[in-house]
Amino acid sequence: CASHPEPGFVSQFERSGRFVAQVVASGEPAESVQGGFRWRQAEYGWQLDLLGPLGNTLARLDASPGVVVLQRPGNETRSAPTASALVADLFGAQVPVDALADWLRGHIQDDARVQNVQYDEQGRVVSLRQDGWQVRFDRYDGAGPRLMEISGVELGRTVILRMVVDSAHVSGSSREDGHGPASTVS
Amino acid sequence: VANPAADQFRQFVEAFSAATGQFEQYTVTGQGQTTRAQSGSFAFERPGKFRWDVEQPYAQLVVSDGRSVFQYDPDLRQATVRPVDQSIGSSPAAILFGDVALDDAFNIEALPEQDGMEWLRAIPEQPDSGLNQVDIGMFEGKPARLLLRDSFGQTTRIDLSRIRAQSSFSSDTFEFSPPTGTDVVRVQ
Repeated sequence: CASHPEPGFVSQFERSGRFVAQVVASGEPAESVQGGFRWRQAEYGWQLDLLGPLGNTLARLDASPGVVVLQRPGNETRSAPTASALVADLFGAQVPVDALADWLRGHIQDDARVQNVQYDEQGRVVSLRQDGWQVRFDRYDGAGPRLMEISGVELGRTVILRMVVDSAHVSGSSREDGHGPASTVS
Repeated sequence: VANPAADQFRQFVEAFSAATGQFEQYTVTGQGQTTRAQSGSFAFERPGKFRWDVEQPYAQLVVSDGRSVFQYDPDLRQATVRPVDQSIGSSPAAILFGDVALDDAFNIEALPEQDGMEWLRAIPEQPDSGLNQVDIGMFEGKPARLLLRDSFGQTTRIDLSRIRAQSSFSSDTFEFSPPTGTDVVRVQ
């Protein structure tokens, strides 16, 4: 039923692992979704699958230049210029998912919105602020951080998204293991 | 309509009031590529108490004390707490060993025998549990395999093994207290 064709592109950079999205607001019931994620990135786009604890796909985001498509079982497909506009449905806030293309590699987007960037002794980014979101990176391997936290307050709601990478695949080499460094980027 | 798998499942519920076992969970992509996602052990004590311990390749725990279900992930420093009756999608244990009888939470259909197992299909009556159907394969009176297909062509396969009846468990087996530094979020 995927209106957006399964991307034929050979993904060059894949990260999969676990996530939790937590939304807490006074006067509203709290929400916390825990599950798995699979991130596949190619030259001109990326695909993010959010999976439930039983491995069932909860949502799929497909990004190509200029448009992002959100598919959720039982809901109609929606599209928008950016993913953050679409994930407001999922997380109740416009979490900057579009930036994951850089953040999952430990890169920062080179524009004025990025502030107070902190680095570790090896010169790797460990935290930054962007558009009101506090972002932290940790447990680096050769390809990027394996632990990430994105937190912010939007419309009175405190939103925290944490992601931990379990397996990594960088084109040319694949490393499927639990903890420990993945292969260096070839 | 005869449904041998459903009959076996009801006998399993009767025969095993408390037990332990092992599981291996695999994901099968649309192109039929199978990868082992996780493995671990489980325990349950009817009515309503269970635990599902993911041990490899990371640690993760789902435990029900009969009233609330705790989903705990040490790497994510997170514990999500749900009332038992809203936890059907939280782990395979909630489906297999939860207090809510299979027939109450699901519509049950018989399926043909396959891979030496008798199969039933369970379709959740609560549509928004993120789960559209679960196939349960029974072997020698015990659940041996679960197959969960989603609408994106992805299948999750969970193999259960070494299910052994237990007479009793220590009182803290189905208790959970989050370590300091864990975010605990209660969800209604």
